[in-house]
Amino acid sequence: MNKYLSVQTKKIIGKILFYGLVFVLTIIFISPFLVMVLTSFKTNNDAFTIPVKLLPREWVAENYPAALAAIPYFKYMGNTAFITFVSICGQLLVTPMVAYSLAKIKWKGADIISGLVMATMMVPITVTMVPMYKIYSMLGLTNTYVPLILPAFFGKAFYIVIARQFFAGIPNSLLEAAKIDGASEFQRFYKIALPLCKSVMTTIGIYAFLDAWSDYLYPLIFITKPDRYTLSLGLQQYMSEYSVDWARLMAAAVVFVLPVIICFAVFQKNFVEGIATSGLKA
Amino acid sequence: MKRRKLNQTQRDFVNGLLFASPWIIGFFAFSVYPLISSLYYSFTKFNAVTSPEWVGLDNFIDIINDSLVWKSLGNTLFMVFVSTPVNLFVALLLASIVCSNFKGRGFVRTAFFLPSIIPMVAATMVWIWMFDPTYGYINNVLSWFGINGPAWLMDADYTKWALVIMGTWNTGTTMLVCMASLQSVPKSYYESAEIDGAGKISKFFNITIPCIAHVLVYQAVLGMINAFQYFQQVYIITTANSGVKGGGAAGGPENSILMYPLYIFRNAFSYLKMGKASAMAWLLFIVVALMTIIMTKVTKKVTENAGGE
Amino acid sequence: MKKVLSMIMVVSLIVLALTGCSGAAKPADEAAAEVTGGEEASQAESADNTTAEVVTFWYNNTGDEALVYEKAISEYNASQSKYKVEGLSVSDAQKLIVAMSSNESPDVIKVSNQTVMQYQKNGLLESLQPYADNDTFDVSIYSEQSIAANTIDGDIYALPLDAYTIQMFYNKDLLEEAGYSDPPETMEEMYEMAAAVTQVGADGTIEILGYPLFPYASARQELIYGFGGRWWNENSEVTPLDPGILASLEMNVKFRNQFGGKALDGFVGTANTNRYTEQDMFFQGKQLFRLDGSWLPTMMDNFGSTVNYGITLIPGTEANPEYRGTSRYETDSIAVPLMAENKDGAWDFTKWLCSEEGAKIVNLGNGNLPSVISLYDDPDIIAVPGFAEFIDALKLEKGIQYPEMTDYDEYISMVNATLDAVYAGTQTPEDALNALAEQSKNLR
Repeated sequence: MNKYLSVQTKKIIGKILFYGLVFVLTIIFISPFLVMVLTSFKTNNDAFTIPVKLLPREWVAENYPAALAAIPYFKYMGNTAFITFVSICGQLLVTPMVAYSLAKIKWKGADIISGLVMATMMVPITVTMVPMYKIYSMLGLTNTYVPLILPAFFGKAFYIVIARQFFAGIPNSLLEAAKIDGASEFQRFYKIALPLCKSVMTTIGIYAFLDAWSDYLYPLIFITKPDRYTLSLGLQQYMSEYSVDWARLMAAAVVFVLPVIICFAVFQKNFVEGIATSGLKA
Repeated sequence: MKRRKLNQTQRDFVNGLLFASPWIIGFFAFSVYPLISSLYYSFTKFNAVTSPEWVGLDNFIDIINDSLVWKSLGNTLFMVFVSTPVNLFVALLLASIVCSNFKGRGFVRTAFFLPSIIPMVAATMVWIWMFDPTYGYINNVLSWFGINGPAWLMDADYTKWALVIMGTWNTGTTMLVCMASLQSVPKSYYESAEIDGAGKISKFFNITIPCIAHVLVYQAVLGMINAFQYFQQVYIITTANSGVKGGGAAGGPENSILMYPLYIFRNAFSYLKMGKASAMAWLLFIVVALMTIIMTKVTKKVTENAGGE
Repeated sequence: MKKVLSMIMVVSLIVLALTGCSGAAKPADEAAAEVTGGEEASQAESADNTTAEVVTFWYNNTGDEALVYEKAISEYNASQSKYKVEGLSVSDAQKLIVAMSSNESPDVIKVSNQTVMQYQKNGLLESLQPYADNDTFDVSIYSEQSIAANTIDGDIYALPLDAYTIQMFYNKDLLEEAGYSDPPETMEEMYEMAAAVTQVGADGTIEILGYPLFPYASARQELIYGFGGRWWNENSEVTPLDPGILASLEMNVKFRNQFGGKALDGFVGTANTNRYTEQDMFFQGKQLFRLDGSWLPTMMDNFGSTVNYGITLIPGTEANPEYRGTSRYETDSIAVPLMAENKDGAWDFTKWLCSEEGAKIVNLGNGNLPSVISLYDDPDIIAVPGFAEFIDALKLEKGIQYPEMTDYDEYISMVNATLDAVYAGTQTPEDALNALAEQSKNLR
């Protein structure tokens, strides 16, 4: 009888510990969001009270219109959306082609190119930044979006690797059958391989979206005039002002973060599945 | 007969090249050319306005004598060797939690994952605010437990730990990858181990780890490559004007968060020493390349031994 | 339902993209540059000045201060029809450097004169000397300090717009409570008073700070200048081993040891976060001595601070009382980048903005001291709280100029890191300064 009870209690204790851990961790992970939202509804004086209180003494909404007025939020969002949209298009156009070549076409260069693709992942962005800056500067392309968008049309190593693994998993028999029927390489790619890879393309689209939306270094270097700023730049510019109104800053941050959260809420399943499976067959 | 075979291989070669051409062109334009010209710039002195002037090894001598280069390298290595494993550990921990079936699992998973897709600028801002020694939530929560929190981003001893903590918040994507690989371990393994009387810990180390080892390794290598490029957060922190030591050293208190890429950036665009910056960048490239090759070789051996089930 | 939501998202993304697209589609269209607050004025101008040449002017002020610049710009545009200035607020120094070295350079920039020195040494600026000579421009309208601050190798590279000097603010009530009637004239007196006034709370935290450890910038400069210390000499060479620096740092460390470094750091950290807000430590009566600038009285008025304050010169030392009143000297300067397109227009605007007429708008609007001598006696200027005392200090012409160094930014970063180490107690002042000397010996 006693032994049975102690196993039971062990289980219960185990469960309590587990749920306790989950609870604490969840609170920890949510707290920055909480802080961000709650501070945005405080006045700046309220934000500077000691001891710090979580909830605002008085809920004010004035920070939001002030934040939206201080930085041309919608213009920056439009800029960022444009860059993101075109980048995603570029990546989705080029990645399947290259991945197909490396995975499905038996040619001499496939292994070499695959190796090179992986190698470029090791090249730090700081190495290429100065020469790229010099070139774009000479071509008069600073303060345009060209430096930000152009690379997307030539493929990114990380995405190609993921896509290549996916294509490698497509049974060759499908393609062989089409070949016997007289389909050209391009037709085999376009009519068979491409339709099959919707899931991995969605994953890559999501990664490309996140990358382009939060991109910081290239806009920092190449965009000089405020009307072309992306959201990340605009927000950081706000932060480096002379004296910082934290409550208003938090409101700006909330407005900045909201679209990403909404996007995630809508496409949750794709996010989770896509990212989760992207690392599996490494 | 013979003619056909040649044509087939040739055709494949042409097709292969054609399909891969965008990347190949991009490779030359965005990787090879910049690498080579960056190497050339390393031996010159120039700012963006004047043309490069050959100075031979001057930049490299400057780098060797510049104590900040070594300090920044040390800071970056700290991130590589401390932050990466910590992040991986946290990701694995979160993934194991999220794999278990319990009520509210979806919500918890969202809570763990969402931070990693928040744009870095906003996240860093909130963390600066949270780390404020007087008004920040972290120190206030610590005070509930009677702990007097340190000055975090204003105290040279704690700045890097603040960065590590910030890093763990962003492990959402790694967590998902770990979660997927945890779920891919066949249940039958666990069942047969249970029959043999294995406990939880034994199951974990003898079954789970070997099965997901290659995924962990890949994430670790990726994580290290990223840690070598750690830049955005420290740039934002060192250029912020409140909540951090305003008007201080370019790399935070006592240059404690001067990361190598940040120092490269400063040399290039603040001090207008683009030649020196290029030299530094090339050195980084060599270090990263070496490190990656070594890591991959070593872990290949380890996983070969472990994964052989 | 989810499909509808996703469709809406995609459509709105595309719509937003198109709004951004129209901005991107005109890469070389200068007219698309945003003008904060001055749009109506310049549009009225462009009705009559359709042939006016465009001159772009970048300044790093935002918010209300930016509006002051826009006001000056619209007055200039109204006063003549040959040029039309378009202003742009760019607060990131990074962006400025990047733009100036590309073909997107502004025609006129406003930066501090220390930046002018650095940019000139890096070959980014156009010399204004030929323009001044051609126009027989009279530089004697400026104080000697202000022109010297913008002259490099004998040539003028910028014209001064505002002047900056630092004074010592003190809390009269706190001083009286501690039993002193007059502010200190030497550093030793200041230490005594500071130690007497500093209040430590029950839990070891500092409630009231006597010694002017904050702001960091003045601790690096004025607090050291009063001891005769200099970070550079007249030949613009670095001098970290100057004995005055050591003396100042030793007194600083002595204070920290007396009251606890960590506790003091806590106070300073808080001061750093809430500076120039309503909660500012001095505005709340928690600081005895504060080395700060001419904008402080106006801020205190705006925040309704009830502190009974006085303004006096930075103290000297007992050994060298003549050091009293030294402070940094800085100007906001207007310069023309080398890659500017419309240099004649740039010069014309620069001349106007820094003349009595233009400068007065900016000086008054932003609460900064003038560089133009005739404005020293202008009744509007003297009416600004605190300005009378500051202008008296300016007239002493005891300001320390910035050096003509290429690597100035880098040097200051090293100095700050050194000071960090000294304040944190990681290194003794002597060791830290020796290390700095070693580190900075190759800087130019």
